[in-house]
Amino acid sequence: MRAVKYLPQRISCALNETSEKSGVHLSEISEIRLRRGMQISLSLDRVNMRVPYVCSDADMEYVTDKLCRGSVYAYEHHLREGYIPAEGGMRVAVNTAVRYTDGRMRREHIPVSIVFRIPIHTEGQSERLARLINSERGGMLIFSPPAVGKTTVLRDLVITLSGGIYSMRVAVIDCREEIDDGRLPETCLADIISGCERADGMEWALRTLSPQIIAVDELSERDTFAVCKAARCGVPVIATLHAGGFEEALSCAAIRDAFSDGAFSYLVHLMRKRGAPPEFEVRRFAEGGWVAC
Amino acid sequence: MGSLLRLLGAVITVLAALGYSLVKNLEERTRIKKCKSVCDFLSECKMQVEYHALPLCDILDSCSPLLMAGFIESAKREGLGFAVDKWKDVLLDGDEEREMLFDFAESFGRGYADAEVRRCTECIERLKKHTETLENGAKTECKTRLTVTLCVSLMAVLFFA
Repeated sequence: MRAVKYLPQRISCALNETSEKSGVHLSEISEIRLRRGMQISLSLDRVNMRVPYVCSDADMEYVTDKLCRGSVYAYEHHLREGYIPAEGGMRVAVNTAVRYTDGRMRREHIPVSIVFRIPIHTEGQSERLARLINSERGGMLIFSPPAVGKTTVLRDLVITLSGGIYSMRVAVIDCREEIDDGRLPETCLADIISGCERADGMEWALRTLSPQIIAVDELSERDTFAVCKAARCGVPVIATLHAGGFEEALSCAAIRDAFSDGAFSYLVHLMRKRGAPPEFEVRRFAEGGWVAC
Repeated sequence: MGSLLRLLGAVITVLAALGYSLVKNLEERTRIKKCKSVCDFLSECKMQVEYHALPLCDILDSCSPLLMAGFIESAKREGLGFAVDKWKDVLLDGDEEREMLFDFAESFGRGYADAEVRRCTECIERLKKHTETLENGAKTECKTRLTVTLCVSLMAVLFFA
């Protein structure tokens, strides 16, 4: 497991002991949660387990130091955003306490909690979505609650569409450096734009990269303007969104407008059961109504 | 034969006194030179942190490998604190400056940019002040040493003669 290299040896040992006792292999774990002064917890999909080890300040400092390659100052802007990019597309959420000094808000550099979110590999499992996009070119919005695997599916979709039989030019707006995990195949025709705002990235991609498709993770309400603009330029956007169901996904007026403007054609509900491949419930917006695909 | 041996003794004494004086002066100069090169290294770190927020390993990559090559490799692999501790005898000659550098290196990279820049500045200033003291001390000591050496040599010559 890639997260282990960022952990002190005593934590790795505690994880191994818990893994042996519970019979859960470390490679099955989707989240490791370290909290200052509290026990470590592991998540397997929606099941949470406790590891009998209490994280000290020194542990939190060690992990932060490792994640920041011994230079916390170099990751200051990432820490302000609440994450640190790690190798292999692993997402590391870092929650630091805020304090006020001389009227200025400052974040402490020792985090209160650190969450390692370990990506699951779903190579080729988004083929159905790729076929839909290829058959009738249109934007796609993939939604699910957190930690179901939207980013993983999006990464797989990027690999499928930009390689193999489709070979499309895909511009990936990878704000948090999560999609490009350093393992994208060499044959991919994907251009990665990282470290910028989603809307700016889409604008940039349209102007400079002449993409056939734009992929963007965790779309927010204020980014829908850029999605509509891309669609008007003839470039469909594949995006992900946090939502529990179809109604919640469409509860936002900006998202509804994006569908009525034709910026998105497909709305995909991503579901996943433990150890099983992802399942998709796809609906298509056509002539003012929804059709199941 | 006796006067020749006396002359030889006088020459050896004079040479030994001069040699001791030269070696001491050279040691002082090396110590100052090392302090200055560590100051330059810290200034480079400060500049890279302040303007580019470069991680330590990238700063070390930009340093000339000929300058403290082993130290740079060690710092990249094991961290600055460990590398300074391991290479302290090569990096610096005096205990005071070694302690200053070790204090700095041990916690470098753990804070945000403004705090790191402040710490770099403090360490550079302390080292510079220390170097100035060493330089001033070296000048005085050099003069004293030379005078003492000449006196001792003269005494030796008179004694042997």
